[in-house]
Amino acid sequence: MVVRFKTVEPMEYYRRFLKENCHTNGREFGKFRTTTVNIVPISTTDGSALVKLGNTTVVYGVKAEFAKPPTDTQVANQFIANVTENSQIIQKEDFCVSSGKLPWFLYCDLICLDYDGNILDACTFALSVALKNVKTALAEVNLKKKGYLNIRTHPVVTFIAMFDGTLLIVDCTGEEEHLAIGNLTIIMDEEGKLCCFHKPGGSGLTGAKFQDSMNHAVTRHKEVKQIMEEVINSMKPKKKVTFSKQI
Amino acid sequence: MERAIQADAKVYSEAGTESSPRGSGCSLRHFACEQNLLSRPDGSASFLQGDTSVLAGVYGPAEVKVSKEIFNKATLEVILRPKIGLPGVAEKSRERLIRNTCEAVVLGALHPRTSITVVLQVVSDAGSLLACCLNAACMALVDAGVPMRALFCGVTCALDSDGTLVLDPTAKQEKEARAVLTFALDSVEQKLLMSTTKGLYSDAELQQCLAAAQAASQHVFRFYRESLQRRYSKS
Repeated sequence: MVVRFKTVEPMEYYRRFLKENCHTNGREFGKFRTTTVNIVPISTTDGSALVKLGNTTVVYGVKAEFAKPPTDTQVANQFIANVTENSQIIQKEDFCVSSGKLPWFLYCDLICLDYDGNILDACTFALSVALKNVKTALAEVNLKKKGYLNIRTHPVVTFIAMFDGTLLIVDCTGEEEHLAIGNLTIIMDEEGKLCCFHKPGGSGLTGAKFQDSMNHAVTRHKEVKQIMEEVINSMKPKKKVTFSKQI
Repeated sequence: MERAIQADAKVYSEAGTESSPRGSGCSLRHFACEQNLLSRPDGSASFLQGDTSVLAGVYGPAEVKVSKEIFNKATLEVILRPKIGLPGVAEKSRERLIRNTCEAVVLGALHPRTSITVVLQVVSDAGSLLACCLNAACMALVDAGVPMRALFCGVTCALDSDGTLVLDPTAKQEKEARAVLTFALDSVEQKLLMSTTKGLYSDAELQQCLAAAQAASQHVFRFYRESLQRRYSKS
């Protein structure tokens, strides 16, 4: 009966839950789904990460090669590329071997294994973790020392969906994302600087809701930073072992 | 139909923290708009902001492909054509932004199972292109007589390295800027419909840019009104 109701009137079905301030699986608003990070799941890449956010799963691989600068760079994902550039997570100058001739070329391959909403959050998270454990000759040649890439910041994504013009929900599932009338993506770095305030159309946002969403972003940033540090620290003593950490 | 718009003192005080005049940076460029200049589309408009120029055509409400048909509302499509070459990833991402902005204001439920297509052709890009595209799209939708719950406009702000705010920046100013923010606002409550940003900036700067954009949007809407009044008083 419940399934039928959901199929016929999905919006009405969700509204019943939204009234009770919870998701359809009982998760409270403002609560994020379980985030799992798994470092170095792919041994053939120079750095990789697997991020799970509820059911949404993304694998990220970074491969460094020498390459000629392409004349027309076709970016697979404009958004992720913009984020990488805006947040200055890595400085492009670090990748220059001899100026004007031969730079390093980083291939970042993202594969979405399962889509259940909030994909950008998972992608950006995977990106920072994967870049963090990139370990190649690249670092040795350019930075004159063995070790990891010079990662400058950790951008954290907060994805907020809007329902009925008044309700803000963080970390929504794929279904909820489909029913939402608008969404908002805020990306912050460590110092609380914004590198993205992306609202791709949808219903309007008022001043009070604007402030609410900023608060959500700050909270989320604290959470993600903490688990990222724990994972990175756990990786340092022993290498070649897969670590994972849950919150 | 050309008219220069200078942001008044109110914009200065809302936009900046310093009281000294900041030159020509904090004013909008010359606006010009011509409607109904193409014969084939149902509505068309060309919008000029300084040297940036965009031509827009609206087809609809018209027949829709069965695969794209939505049973309870109109299917809205936006096509953005660059000045030269084929549309790439950047154009696709802009198209999506404009489409979603239009969808928020167009009363699509009044024309179910039809299609509304907006075609935007970039004529020249001299900065604030996305804002100009939004303005052209809005004027073309008005010309086509598509029912809308509000008008919308696009405003671009640029922040210099020293935090100076520039409204409606030129291509050169955009290139030198630390951050470039583009907003789409509606005409009823100045609610934020769309926002996209480039570069790093603080929370306070975002608020400041938004306030400046809201003040500037009043001038754009006033220009819309005058432009339409002039057109309809002629005939």
